[in-house]
Amino acid sequence: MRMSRTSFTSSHLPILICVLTAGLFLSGCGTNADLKDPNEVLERARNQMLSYNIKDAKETLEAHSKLFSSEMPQYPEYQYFYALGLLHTIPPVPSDVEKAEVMLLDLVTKYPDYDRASSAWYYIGRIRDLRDYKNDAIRLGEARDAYRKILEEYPDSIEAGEAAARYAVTFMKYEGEQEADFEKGVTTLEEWLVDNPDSPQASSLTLFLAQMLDIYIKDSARSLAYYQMTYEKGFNNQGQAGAKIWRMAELALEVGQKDNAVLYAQDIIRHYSRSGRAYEAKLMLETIQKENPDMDFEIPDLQLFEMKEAGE
Amino acid sequence: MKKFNTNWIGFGILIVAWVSSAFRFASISSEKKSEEDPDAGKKIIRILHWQLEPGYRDGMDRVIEAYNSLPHVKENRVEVRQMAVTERVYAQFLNVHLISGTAPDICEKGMSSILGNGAQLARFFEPISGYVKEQNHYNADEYLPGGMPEELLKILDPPPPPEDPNQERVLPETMDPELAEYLQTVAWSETFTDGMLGGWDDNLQDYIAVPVSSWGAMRTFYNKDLTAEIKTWLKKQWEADPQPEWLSTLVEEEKMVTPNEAFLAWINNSEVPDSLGRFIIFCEAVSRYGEVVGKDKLVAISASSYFTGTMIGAYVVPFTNGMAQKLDADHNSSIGHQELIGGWESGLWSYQDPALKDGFYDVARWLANYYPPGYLGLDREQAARRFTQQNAIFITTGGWDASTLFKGAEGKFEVGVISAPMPVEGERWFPYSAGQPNEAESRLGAPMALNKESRNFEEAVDFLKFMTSFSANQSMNHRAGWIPSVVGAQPNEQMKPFLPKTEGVKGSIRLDPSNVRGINHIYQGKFPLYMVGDISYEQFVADVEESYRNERNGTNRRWHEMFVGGRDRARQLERSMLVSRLRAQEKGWEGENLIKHNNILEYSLGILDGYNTPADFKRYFPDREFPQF
Repeated sequence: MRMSRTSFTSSHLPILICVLTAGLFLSGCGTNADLKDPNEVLERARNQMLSYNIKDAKETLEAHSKLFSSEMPQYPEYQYFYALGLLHTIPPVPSDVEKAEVMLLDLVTKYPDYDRASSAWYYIGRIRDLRDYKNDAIRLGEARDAYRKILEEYPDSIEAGEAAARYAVTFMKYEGEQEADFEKGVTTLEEWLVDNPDSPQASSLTLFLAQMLDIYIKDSARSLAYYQMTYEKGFNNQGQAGAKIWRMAELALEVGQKDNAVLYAQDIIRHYSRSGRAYEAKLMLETIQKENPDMDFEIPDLQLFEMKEAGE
Repeated sequence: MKKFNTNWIGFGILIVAWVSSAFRFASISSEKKSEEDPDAGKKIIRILHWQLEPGYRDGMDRVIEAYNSLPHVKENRVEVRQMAVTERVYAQFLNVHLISGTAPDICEKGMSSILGNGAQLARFFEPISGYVKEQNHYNADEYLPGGMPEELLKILDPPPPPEDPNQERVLPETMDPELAEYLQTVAWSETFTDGMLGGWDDNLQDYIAVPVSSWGAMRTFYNKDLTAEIKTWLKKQWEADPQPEWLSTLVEEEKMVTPNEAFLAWINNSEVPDSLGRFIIFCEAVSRYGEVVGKDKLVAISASSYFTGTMIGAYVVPFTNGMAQKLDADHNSSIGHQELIGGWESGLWSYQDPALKDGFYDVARWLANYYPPGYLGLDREQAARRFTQQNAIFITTGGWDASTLFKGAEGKFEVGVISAPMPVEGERWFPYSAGQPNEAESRLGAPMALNKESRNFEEAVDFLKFMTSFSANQSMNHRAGWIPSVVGAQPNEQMKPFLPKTEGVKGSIRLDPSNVRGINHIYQGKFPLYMVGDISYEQFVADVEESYRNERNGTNRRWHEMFVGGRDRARQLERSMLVSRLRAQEKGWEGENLIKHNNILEYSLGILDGYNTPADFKRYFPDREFPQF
């Protein structure tokens, strides 16, 4: 009887193998909670995020959560990074996204002066107006509340321009019962830009307005005006600039601004041959010249690769 | 006495095996450490790629040798090594090594299924916008022709062998001062002929790779000797009285050409056809000539199932450009799936459009008359072999096959290279064509990405800068038979016809919408049947249009999928913006940090978080419910 209790039988073998395997695994894995200093934990998580290892950042913060408490000065930073880790880990987990929103709301309520508070509000807005997972309910009204918070309480923050644009976009979405209202979205953003012409995002926002007016509202003159504002400020995305300037040339012709059409077509040939529109720009110039013999302008030669000025 | 349990034997064996394995592992590791390792203390940079075409590895070896010989590289004990892996296993090779953290320092981006784009890509490869705004110091005078040391020059531009003293030199003797100044003063990204867009990722709005070569535009290779021979025969047929029926039918009934002065001049010379109508007449002549002289295997066009295998790809832009101008609802100079499907459903375009029915699809069927029988069962190598064995006059492919074809023809016949001939005035298809495609937008290839886990990251960047300096890049691509990626650098004579053309129209529609599940499947199955005459145009159109209308997999499904895809993309962009925001929060909201963040913002706003799809849908169909699945 006693012997049968202690004897090693073949039925024990799988258990033994499992134990050995688990032992091997555990010896290789170790624990992720290897840091003692909260600042080092935050530093590691931040670096992981900067390297697009968002899941690793989330796990780092989770593993060291005991090092953080709400009395600590690092707590809002911990909440901010942990919430973003929860929000942007792939694949998204519904409960994590909900937890992220709760955590960010707690952060902005308890630490409104935290230097990333406006950014936290921005992410609250994004959780509400973006579909984070299948069957995620979109809450456009609540998203607007979050963006409005930024515009009202953090008007000088870097997030203000983005919030103004995201606020406008909420009106442009066909979602549930809501019909898209492009005019309302455009007007809202236009009004904000009148008061904030020097926003760091101004060039992006005027480009956005130009496109919405062109595509959905079909107001060529207003669209061209915003394209021209972007052109003067400079296009952010130089790879796309050629296509945009080509559209400006077309719109300028459409609204009778021939001088401007010439200017844009010349610019495409001289500086944006990579857009693939230089040949058509040349044809456009030839047509304008033919139809308007009184207009005196140069038709530049096509070139395969333009050499830009240094610093251009 | 206790009875011995035999199970302990098995357990004992297991333990012994485990211990001996651990011992062996430990002893090999220590042996390796203690052995005199020739690489000890060296920084080895490995560059991985799948370009096994003739010459490419030699070209890269040349640049690696030159780099490894640089005094400061030797001093730092840096050594670059090349790893070429066939494209058949490249994806698996790269996937395994990326996941296990053992991937080479520099990897050609592509093939891998786990990379995708955007944040996923950036998990493994380092975005390099921080580097591309710096100047490339390897374009300094001491690395340029006329200024570089003799030792380096000998590697990059080896002296011609005594038996061939007139061999084409790789580098010019001196450098154009204006070009030198340009390369020395602008950012690294601006020294690339495409502004480095071949290494750009839209979702990241960042540069993720360094494109080191280009295969240029698609071209048609032809056998010059046979062309001249058949042209002589064709001239006789033209002058015969009466003319052979096939020839008069092509001219008078099929209206392939107008027998004007230009046509007669071409008939009387030995040149390759320079218009589409003449091309068809010549192809027919090839078939007839083959019959007359008993060359059963001779065909005009060496087609295959390879993606460049038929010539028809060259005619998409000319025949669909007009429709593309009409369909470009978002005015971004390209036609997306929304525009294609919305345009079809709302009647903005149809398969009855003369540019398609009487233009593109008519050309497709005519060209197929001159492909080898059963061409869909032939692969790329078989098509190339048919051409080099002089059983075909033409083959259409990219510059990456140039070395294979030129080498295969060596000593047998002379190879010429042309762009696909376009219809000219007076020819059957001229009224439907917008002219030749513009190629200025061509992006550079062979994008080399930098492994995030590289222990010698800065050295790897330095090597890529060397590789894409004027002298090294021209030398490498000259030997490889590809087109250099640096402004002003010249390809070898053979590759000059592959340089992109700046004249021509931009914009086309995708007739085989690859992302439209169901429709694409039917299209890919039916189009070849139509081309070879197994089904009529009416049947082809009926089958394809039925797939558009299919309740489950047709356009409705596609609208739904585009919406889901757009919203997923918005979330991907948000992830990229999170990183750009953190970076800007740390380093300041100015300069490149701000531009990069705003670039992603623009992209994200432009697609309205993916809601551009229902908005576009409503633009086409204000009263229709958006499809739900």
